[in-house]
Amino acid sequence: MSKRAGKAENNKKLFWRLHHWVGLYTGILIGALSLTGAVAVFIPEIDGWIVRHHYNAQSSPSPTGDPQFSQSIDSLINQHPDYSSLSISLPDHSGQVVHADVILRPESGNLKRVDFFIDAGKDRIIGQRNHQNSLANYLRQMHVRLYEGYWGRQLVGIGGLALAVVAITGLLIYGNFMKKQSWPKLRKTRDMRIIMADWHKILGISALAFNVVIALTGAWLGLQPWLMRWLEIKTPNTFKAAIVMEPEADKTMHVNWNEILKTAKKEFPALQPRQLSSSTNGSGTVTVRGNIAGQIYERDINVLVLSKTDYRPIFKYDVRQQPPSHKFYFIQEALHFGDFGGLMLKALYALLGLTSGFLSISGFVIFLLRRQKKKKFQWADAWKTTFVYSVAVLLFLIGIALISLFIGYATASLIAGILINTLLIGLIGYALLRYLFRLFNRNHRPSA
Amino acid sequence: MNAAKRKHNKRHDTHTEHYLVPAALFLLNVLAVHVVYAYFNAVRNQIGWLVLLTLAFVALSSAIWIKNRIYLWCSMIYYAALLIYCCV
Repeated sequence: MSKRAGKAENNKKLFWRLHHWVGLYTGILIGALSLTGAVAVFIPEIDGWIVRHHYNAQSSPSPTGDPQFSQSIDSLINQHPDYSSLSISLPDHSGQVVHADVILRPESGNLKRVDFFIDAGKDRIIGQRNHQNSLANYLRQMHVRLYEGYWGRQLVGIGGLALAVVAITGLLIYGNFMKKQSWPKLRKTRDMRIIMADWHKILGISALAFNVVIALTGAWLGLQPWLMRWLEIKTPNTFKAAIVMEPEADKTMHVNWNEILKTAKKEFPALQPRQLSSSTNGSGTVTVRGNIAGQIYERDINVLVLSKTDYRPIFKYDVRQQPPSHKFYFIQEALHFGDFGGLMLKALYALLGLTSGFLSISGFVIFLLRRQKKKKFQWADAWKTTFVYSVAVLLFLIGIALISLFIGYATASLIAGILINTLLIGLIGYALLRYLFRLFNRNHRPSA
Repeated sequence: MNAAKRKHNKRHDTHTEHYLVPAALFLLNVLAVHVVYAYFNAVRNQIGWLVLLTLAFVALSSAIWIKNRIYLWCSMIYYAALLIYCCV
């Protein structure tokens, strides 16, 4: 064998080892994220359905065609003078309610985030819920930070990085493992290891580009707080209006929301307003956030800030006119969640997203069956082990969901934090002990 | 070498199977998302663009199925050109 061929062979062995060990140690995380991600793409649809059917909240047709909510917002402000933040989400379709997301900070008692539903036709409050304990919040928090408040987000980022490593190393060893096999042919055999290996290779290569994009954008979104601090990256689109009045005066100031929407249409015609928020810090402003049709950027990233006193524009952020660095920054979340092509694209994202879950399960089965073949793994059946791990993940997801919905977000987050950190310490401890044990055995092996 | 083995070797082109098909599948992933996005956000004056993208999708999918080396290269270059045009 020539020196060059030997080097290539060594590289392939290294890639295979990386694929094997990274996949083995992070497979369970990738599997859980794949499942939660496939559901998370449908959060707005699921939440809309729950609001409509569980809370029986829907809008009647508006006489003007535009959503009506000014009176309801005024009455909310009068009823809750202790509010510290107010954000209004406009409906995407007719029949949907206007959401008023209000953070209440009572002098005695804990902070509370309440989601009020407003009939956009009759301008009437027709329901409310605790935002933190909603299913939509559970789905988002579980996928974004595994319900672990301390460093769950970074853990998910590491999962994204691991998926990128296994996807890229998988591509590099693909040819070596396919040999004379053609895509997408499965070998005719009853050997379950070979059947799983064939499906693993075929599905892995078929959804590779999608998984690489999801992995890299997920790694960036998860590790963003660390990376931005280390690389000294500044968040684009952070405008802070000057303080011009007392916060109390700002909070109680009347806003004509219809006028705000009219001004937004005039000053920023391409903007599709989706979220309106009123200042409470004394800046006397209203922020209109929204999308521009056909653009692949983070939701509600285009901004128009208007003065509360005379509704003149103070600041405008049109993502189309920004430098490439801003565009690159804001494209990550859209690419990760696939909300730029309607329900059909979401379905495609969910389907392709589930492949990484299947790949982590099939990879684990192949690993166990290979060990069984080498007679190193006889104490349990490979399928039973895989079943136990899969059921444990499902039980964790369902258990935390039930606790979050029926007891509360804080309790669910505490339990998830304890479980995840215990599991993580156990896994790292096991890997370390295994390594030290092997090192000890190697050093104390009697020489021949 | 027997006839069956010779036939198999003729059918199995390692370069196509190990490099061109994965590259085409990679582009097909991007194209599938691109086509759905384009159809969802299409406006009336973009019918020509939709036709070009649909053609790219049909060409790339059939090239992966047929596995003809020249057809694979052509369909990949065609879509890559559309993608570059769309980004620039």
